[in-house]
Amino acid sequence: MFRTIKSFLLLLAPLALLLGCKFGDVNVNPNAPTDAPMNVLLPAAQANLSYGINGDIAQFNSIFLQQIGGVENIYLSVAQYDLNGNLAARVWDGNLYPGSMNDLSIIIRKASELNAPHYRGVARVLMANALGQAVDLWNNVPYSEAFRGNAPNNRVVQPRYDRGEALYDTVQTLLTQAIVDLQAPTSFASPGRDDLVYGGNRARWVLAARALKARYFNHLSKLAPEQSAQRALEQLQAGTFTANADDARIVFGNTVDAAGPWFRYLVGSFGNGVRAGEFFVNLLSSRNDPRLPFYVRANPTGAPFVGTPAGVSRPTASQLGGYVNRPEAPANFITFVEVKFIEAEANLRLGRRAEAAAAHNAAVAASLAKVTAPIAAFGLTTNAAANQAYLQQYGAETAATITLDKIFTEKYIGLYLEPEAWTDWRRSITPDRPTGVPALTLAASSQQFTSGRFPRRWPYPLSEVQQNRANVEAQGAATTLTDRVFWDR
Amino acid sequence: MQRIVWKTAAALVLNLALALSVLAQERVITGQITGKTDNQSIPGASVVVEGTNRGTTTDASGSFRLAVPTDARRLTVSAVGYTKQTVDIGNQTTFNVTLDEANRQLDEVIVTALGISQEKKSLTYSAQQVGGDELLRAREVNIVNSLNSKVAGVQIISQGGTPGAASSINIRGKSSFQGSSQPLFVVDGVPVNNSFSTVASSASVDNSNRAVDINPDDIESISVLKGPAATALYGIQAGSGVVLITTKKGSRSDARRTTVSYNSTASVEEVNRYFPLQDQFAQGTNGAYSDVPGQTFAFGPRISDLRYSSTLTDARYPQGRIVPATDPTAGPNVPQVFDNQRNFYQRGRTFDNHVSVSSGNRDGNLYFSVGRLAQTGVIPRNTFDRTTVKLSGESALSAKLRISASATYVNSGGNRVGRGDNFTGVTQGIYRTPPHFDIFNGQSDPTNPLAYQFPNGSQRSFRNRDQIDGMNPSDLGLGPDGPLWTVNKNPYRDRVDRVYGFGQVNYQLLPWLSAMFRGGADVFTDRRVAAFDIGSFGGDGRFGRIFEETFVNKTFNTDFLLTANRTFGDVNLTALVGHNFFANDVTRSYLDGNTFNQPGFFNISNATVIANPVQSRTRRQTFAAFTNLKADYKGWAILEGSLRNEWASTLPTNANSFLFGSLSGAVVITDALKLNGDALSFAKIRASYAQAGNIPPAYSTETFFVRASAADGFGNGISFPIRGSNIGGSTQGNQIGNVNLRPELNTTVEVGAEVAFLRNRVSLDVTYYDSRNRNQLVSIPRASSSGFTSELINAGELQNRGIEAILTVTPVKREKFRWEAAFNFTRNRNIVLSTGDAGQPILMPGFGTIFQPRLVPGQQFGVFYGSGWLRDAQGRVIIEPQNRIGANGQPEIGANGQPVPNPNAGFPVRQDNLLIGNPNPRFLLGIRNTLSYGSLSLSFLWDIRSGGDVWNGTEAVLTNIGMTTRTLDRGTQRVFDGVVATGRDPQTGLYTASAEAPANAQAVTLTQANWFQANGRATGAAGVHEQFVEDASWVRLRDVNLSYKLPAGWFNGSKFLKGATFTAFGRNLLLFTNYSGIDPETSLYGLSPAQGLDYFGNPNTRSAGLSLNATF
Repeated sequence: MFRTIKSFLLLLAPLALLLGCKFGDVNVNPNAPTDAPMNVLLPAAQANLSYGINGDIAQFNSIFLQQIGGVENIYLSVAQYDLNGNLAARVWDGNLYPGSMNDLSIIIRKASELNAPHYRGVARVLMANALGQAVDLWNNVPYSEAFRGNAPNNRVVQPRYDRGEALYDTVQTLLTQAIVDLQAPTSFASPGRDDLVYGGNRARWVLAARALKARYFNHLSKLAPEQSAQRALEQLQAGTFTANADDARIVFGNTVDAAGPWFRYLVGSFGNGVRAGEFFVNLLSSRNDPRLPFYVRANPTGAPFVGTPAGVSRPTASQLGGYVNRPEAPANFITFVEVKFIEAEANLRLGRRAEAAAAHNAAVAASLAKVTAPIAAFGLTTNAAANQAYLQQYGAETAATITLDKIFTEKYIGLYLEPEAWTDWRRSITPDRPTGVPALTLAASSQQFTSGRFPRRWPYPLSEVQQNRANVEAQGAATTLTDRVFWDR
Repeated sequence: MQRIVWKTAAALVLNLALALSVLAQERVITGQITGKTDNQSIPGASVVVEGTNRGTTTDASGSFRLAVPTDARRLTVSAVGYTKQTVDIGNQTTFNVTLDEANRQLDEVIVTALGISQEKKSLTYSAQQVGGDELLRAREVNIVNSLNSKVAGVQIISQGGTPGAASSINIRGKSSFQGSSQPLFVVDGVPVNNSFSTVASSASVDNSNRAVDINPDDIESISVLKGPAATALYGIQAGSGVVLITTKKGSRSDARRTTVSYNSTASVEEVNRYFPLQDQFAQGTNGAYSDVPGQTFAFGPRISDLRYSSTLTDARYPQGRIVPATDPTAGPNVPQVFDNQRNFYQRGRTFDNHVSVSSGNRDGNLYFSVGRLAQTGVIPRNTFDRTTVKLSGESALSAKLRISASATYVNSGGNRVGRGDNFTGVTQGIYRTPPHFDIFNGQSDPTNPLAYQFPNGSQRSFRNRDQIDGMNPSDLGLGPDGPLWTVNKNPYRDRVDRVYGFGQVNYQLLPWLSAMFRGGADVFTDRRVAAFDIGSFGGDGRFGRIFEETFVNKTFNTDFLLTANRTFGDVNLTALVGHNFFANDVTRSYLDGNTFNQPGFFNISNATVIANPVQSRTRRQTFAAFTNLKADYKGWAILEGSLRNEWASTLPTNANSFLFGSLSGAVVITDALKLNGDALSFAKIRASYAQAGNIPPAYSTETFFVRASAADGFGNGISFPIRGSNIGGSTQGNQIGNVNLRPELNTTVEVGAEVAFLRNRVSLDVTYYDSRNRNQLVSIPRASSSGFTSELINAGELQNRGIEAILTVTPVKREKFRWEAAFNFTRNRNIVLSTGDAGQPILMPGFGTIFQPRLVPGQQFGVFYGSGWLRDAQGRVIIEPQNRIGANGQPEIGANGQPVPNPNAGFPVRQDNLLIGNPNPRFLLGIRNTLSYGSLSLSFLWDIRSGGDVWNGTEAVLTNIGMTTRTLDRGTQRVFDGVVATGRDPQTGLYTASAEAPANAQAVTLTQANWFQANGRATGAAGVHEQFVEDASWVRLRDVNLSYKLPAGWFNGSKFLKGATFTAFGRNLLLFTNYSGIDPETSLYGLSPAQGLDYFGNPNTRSAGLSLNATF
């Protein structure tokens, strides 16, 4: 009997051993940390925002603008004005809210906790840019309750939508605060190499903040023509970009997997979805614009520059040119060229025609200098004579000759493939310019999706409609493609 | 000192042994056991001295030899498939016992949870056993397939017909909203992994489910435990049922007996159904021939209107460039039409050999086997092979202590081919090729580069008129790789090395109390290498790409069991207390390299860029303590209950323990009421109530930061650190960690009855169950403005109700001739009761974002939502009117004062977001007929599936590009059924039709532009899906099997050969279905819960083969 009990205990031993076990670190995830420092959050947020603005947003806006045309797949759909809530969700669910803005909000929070205003300043500039871009596409969007899905207290998974007007104030406030932050004498830590835009150059960030302030003031041109111009100019006068070298942009690496958004898209499986737009090619051809071969890749045989008509697939049309179609093509947030055009437009609105003409001419010259710089990989060289000829014809305006149409047209060419160009075009629409400047023609089969009207905003993402329904519905029923954002009246 | 102790001990043992041998007066008896109907010897029959543990089993010739105590009175003889018989010993020394074939449903002894054998008669829940013979009938390679149509309540869907392709098994429907709902696989008491491990389940290749590593030739039987009452002892692992596999063992025999068994099988496979493609229209658009680079449409002219040019040459067409007949250079010859499908698919071959040695004596036994399977598929270069080596044994160390162990080594894998939503899928490459393009380029050898390469080495494709430079991104048109390019240039190889097995100790503590400890392990590595040679369109392989992926999967499991068995008067009590530890540890490493140094060399060192390396480890552990009590009153009233408490590592630390239980009972009415008539031979009723659970995946309770990448909407982008810099980037993960997670809870009520009539000639086993799965673990999407896109929560409830019935009939039972028919009926109604949060539907992987299987409260599981035709309240399709109707519902008037004509007049109107299909079948029925005459046996299995829709996405896409036979009506007139719109709904802007709306009479001529690719009514994956949802009912001859067992008499006296059986078999020989695509038994998403999507799956096969079985 004793032996039986002993054996019994022996058998029981493993049981006791196992029962005594705790899980320990079994459920501790070895594959991902639960925190990350600011200096890795910042570059990721910058790259993600850049890939959003210069990815889907630029792709779709540029198709609407007929700078390029969709010939396949969803790009053909977008060209036919079938930009649905699914497509609109890709950048919202990817690059913007979770991809960059959430991380920027974490940086702002961390920087406040750690007393690192320099990080907070950079994050606020980027947040302002992201938010401004979102309003320009969707008007009312979540911000004040956003990024709180994981908050230990006051968790919000269905954030309410803030009015576009109010968010424009927020954009300005963020930028004002950012300038203060960036000029703070001390900071626990400061961005350096991890800053993909300026490599930690805070002075330039201040210039960029003012440039963005000018941009978003200027967007209000339809609502408050004079005030918007005055405020924009005030910012520019306070000190902003003075050369192309000041551009707020990211130059990604020079290999396929380090490339910037346009190249990465064009070289990917779906990059065949777009070709040069017929309207754009014709416009530049008619003006003998020396930027054309840089923007559009000449066909090796037949007519060199062929565009695809809006809403129609012409796969044989020209591909995009070396200026964008290379890994190191700059991915812009805001540029010197844009700032000069803002200056021209604002001055013109205030009747300062000479200043307007001067700024316009400077913008055109800066654009030509930037775009037509030689690109060896594409065999592209600068044609100084052609540049000169162009500048004489289109970059030599005077107080007498300068017009808003000229500024908008040149800006349309100068901001090639930048989403900002679509915002300008929408602002250019007035009763006597019903199809905007430059005057676009409706895409074929526009009847199908927009009842024969131009798209004026993006629809709310399907993900928001489904997961945040009440708040989206509170924005009213008229949030279709042809509805307008608050400044587009 | 020690030596003395040992010596003394040895002396004592010796003395004891001597004493025992003197005490136990013994004599030796011998005999042979045969079956009554076929007069064949029965190997492996058990012969036991009644009331003792003394016993043996018969050898291959059915003979036994047993030493019995002189006072032994009776022998009990039993064998699987036969009725147990008791024989008086008397003074006889030779026994020839003839056993009656059992009624399988009633007399069977079946293996239940934790490997406990029980008489089926005493079970209080539903469980069904399939014997090794039945499993091997169709010689299926994958044991999951071998259960098809053989078990009531089980649905099996194979992913495609390529060698080694995965198959999904669901017991009693889907139990989980988002999990795989695959049952637990247990081999000899130890859980084994049946994972699928595919990241992109809709694309990639036909990967295997890992149960494919189990060699069917090593299996003795499979028990399918269906409800939680049966699986209660497995707890959370068994929320979707258990497939309990018992492997073959060496027979225990009084004298040493060794048997060698050899099986050799060879079969051929061929495609059982081809996709119907049009063979009349050429490449081009709008009726005009166009072969410009990138032209993917087959909406050109009739091929008969084209000619080979007599002067122009074309790298694609050796006969000359194709031009319109009117072209000045046109020659006399009409372009040839090629049946690329039939040319491409070849005859597949399977060779399967298995040798086993089993041996045993009184104190132990041994089983050793080696199996080797080699398959080549119907697709060139597609292979799968499997080598298994198994060794198992058992030894009695003393009268009370027994040790057993088993180890199996498996090496399996093959060369797979692309499938599904994948530009390197061979079906995409074949089906999209216009009929005048010969994918073989006049060659016959599929591996000849002349067939798939242009002279300059670039890919030969109908889309590339000029010999373009495959490396130049601007020269490549979007489209799938050519099929022969794919099989030669896009290899995908996988290789699994696996060891699984167990060690077990049994100890008889007291006559009524025994203990068991078992430790099991299943460890494997799964290495996969996929490459896309330079110039591939698919797999982002333009510059060459290779990825190497390695999984190391370790599962450890220990069970400790104390079993007490006591009889108190008429009540027999079995009590069990146990403990279980389970640990699973999976590491995955993934290297993705691109930009090859040189073409055709598929090694990671050939890549110049390594992107996105992944190294991940996922661990899960559980502990459990459980108890089970079974009380049996006179063998006719049985009550059973169990409780199990579980601790799981993946639950929040402060709430990681939970308890569930079961209660069940059965009454054998015929025994209770002492009915034993011929008419009603047996009747039993049973009922059970039981719970089971499921736990969340690891690491779900916290929010993490992950390495960042930046990309556009199609995922074209970069990841950190950006190449060329060392700047890192992290982003907060998109899933919100949930600290409030709880386990899923399944509660099932089950009632059943088993009856037999006419001396068991007819028997019926019916079960009705109603199971509710609450607190479903659901990864729900979150509004991304919250900063996150998903959260794992407990939400929703799922109900499965159903009937399982097994009817066995023996219409003829003569001396030599016997006809048996078995019906397995499955009917499951799977209803989503709720989806948690505000009743939002849960979206499952679908196709694109418009066609989606969904979980919608009140609907069946995974019903299809997509676009369909706008209908009025009476269900009539609304047709576009002659003139336009404005947004206000009034006719539009043009500037000229006339109504504005509607260019779309006569066409139906698309509406999105409609319920358009249900993939769940109404019922499944398997009918097995077995006719035996003496040694000859013919068996065939009909597999019937009624209802259940499949979305024929292949047809949708190919219609869009003009390759299906339904596009042959291009250019013809059609009047669409429906009523003409009479107004518009002011709210939605959609057309309305009044009750008196006229029937449509407007004939329209269908063209590429106005119909097949027209905005708003197009075909294609993003088009109107309703047109491509089809009923996938089928009647299929799942297997046929004719076997002849050489009469036992032939081997009498043979020292060498002891028995042989020849078998001819066929699989999937006949298929009757109205489905228009390939075999509707296909699944885009493999083991995922989303079913019923057919999208460029690889075709299924039928096969025929021969098998020889010999025993030595």
